Amino acid sequence: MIYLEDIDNNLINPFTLLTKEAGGDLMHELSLADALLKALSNYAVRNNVRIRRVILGIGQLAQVDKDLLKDNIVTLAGVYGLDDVKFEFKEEETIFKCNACGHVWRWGEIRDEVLRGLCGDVVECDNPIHYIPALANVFIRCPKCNSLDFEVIKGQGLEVLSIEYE
Amino acid sequence: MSMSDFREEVIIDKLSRCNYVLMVGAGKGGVGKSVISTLLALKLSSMRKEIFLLDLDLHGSSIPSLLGINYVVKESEKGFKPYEYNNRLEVMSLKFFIEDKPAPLRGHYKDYVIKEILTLTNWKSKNVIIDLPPGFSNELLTIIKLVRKANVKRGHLVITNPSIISAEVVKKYMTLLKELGEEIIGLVINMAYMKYGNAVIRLGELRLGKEFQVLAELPYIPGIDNYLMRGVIPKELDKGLKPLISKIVPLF
Repeated sequence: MIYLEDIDNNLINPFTLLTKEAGGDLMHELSLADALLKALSNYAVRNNVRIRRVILGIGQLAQVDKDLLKDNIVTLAGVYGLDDVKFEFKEEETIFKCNACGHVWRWGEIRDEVLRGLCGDVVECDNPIHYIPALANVFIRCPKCNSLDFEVIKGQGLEVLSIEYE
Repeated sequence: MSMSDFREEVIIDKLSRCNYVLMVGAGKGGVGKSVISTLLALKLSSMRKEIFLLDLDLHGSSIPSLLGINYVVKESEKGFKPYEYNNRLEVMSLKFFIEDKPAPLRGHYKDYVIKEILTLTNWKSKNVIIDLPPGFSNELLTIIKLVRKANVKRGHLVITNPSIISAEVVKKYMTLLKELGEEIIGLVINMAYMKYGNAVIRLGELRLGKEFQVLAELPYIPGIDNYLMRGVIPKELDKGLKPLISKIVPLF
C-alpha cells in the first residue's frame, strides 16, 4: 500500500520503485498506467462514484507487456485512491483491413517482420508503434497490395472497455 | 456506463493546469505559421516566459527543423519528455517519433495521434503555443474541443501573407473561429514588405474589410530559417514583432 500523503511529503516515490523493478529502464507501461489511473480517478471524482471494476482491452499492435502494465496499475492504484478497484485485462487480437484492396490480415501474420524492421530483431522494443499505435500506417503495408492505406479494425491499443461503479 | 476515451480525460486535466493556450493558424499553407510560432517561442522564452511549443502539423512538421532540433523521443517517469531547447522552452512534435518518414493518416488516426502525444507528453511550462497545420480539419477541431473542455484561457493568432488568395482562405478561417466562439487575439500579415537598402518594397496590396484589425505586419526576410536555426531573430523582424509581443506578454 502506498499512501498519497507519503508521496506528497516525498517519503516515497512509487515511480522510482517501479522503474527499479523494471531494471532501471523507464518503461512505456509505467506512463500508460499512470495516465489511465489519473483518468479513472478524475472520472470518479467528477461523477461522484466509487469505481469497483474496470475492464481494459489491450490491442496486440501496441506491444504492451500485459504483466508489467498490470503490476504498474496495481502498484500505483493506491496513489490515485483506486486500490480497491478490480482490474481485468483482455488481450485483443489486432485485425487490419486494406482500404485499397480489401484484404484482411492479423497482427500475428506480420508481427515478426514489423518488429525486425522497427527493432532490428524479432523482439519487442521501444518503437513508434509501441508509443503511438495509430502510427501503424507509417510503418506497416498491406501484405497483399503493399498499400499504406488501411484501417486497424480491432485491437489498436489500450482502451477502457467498461467501468462498473456504485 | 463506460469512459469513452481515457486519453481525453488526461489531456483536459493537463491543459486545465496551464495558464494560456495560444493557437497559431491560418487555414492556408505557406503563410508562415511555423516561423511565427517559432519566433514567438524564442522571443517569449528569452523574456523569462515558460513556453511549451507544440507542433501539430502532422504532415508538414517544420518546428524541429526551424529550431535545428534532431531529437528522438525519450520517456520520463510520467511520459514522453519534450525536447528542452533551453530551460524555458520545451518542444514536442510528431517528428520526434517518426523522424523524416511521411505520415499517411486518415482523419480519425490524426485524432488518435494528437491525443496519444498529448496524453503522454510530460510538459511543465504553463504557456502553450500550438503551431496548427493548414486546413480546417481534425487538428484544428480536436485541439479546440480539448482546450474548451479544459476551460483554459486561450486565443488564436491568425496569419496571412499579403496575397488575395491567401486572404480569402484566412477570412474563411476567421469566420469559422468566430462561429466556434473562439477569441482571435490578432491578425498578422506576414511577408508584407521587404527592405532593400533604404527602400521599403510592399509585397502585396491586401485590402481587408474594416472588421479585420491587423495587429502586426512582418517583413519578408530571405533565409529566415537559417537565422532561426541559430536561435537568432533578425533585427527588422524583432521590431515588427513588438505589437504582437505586447499583446501576448500580459496573457502569458
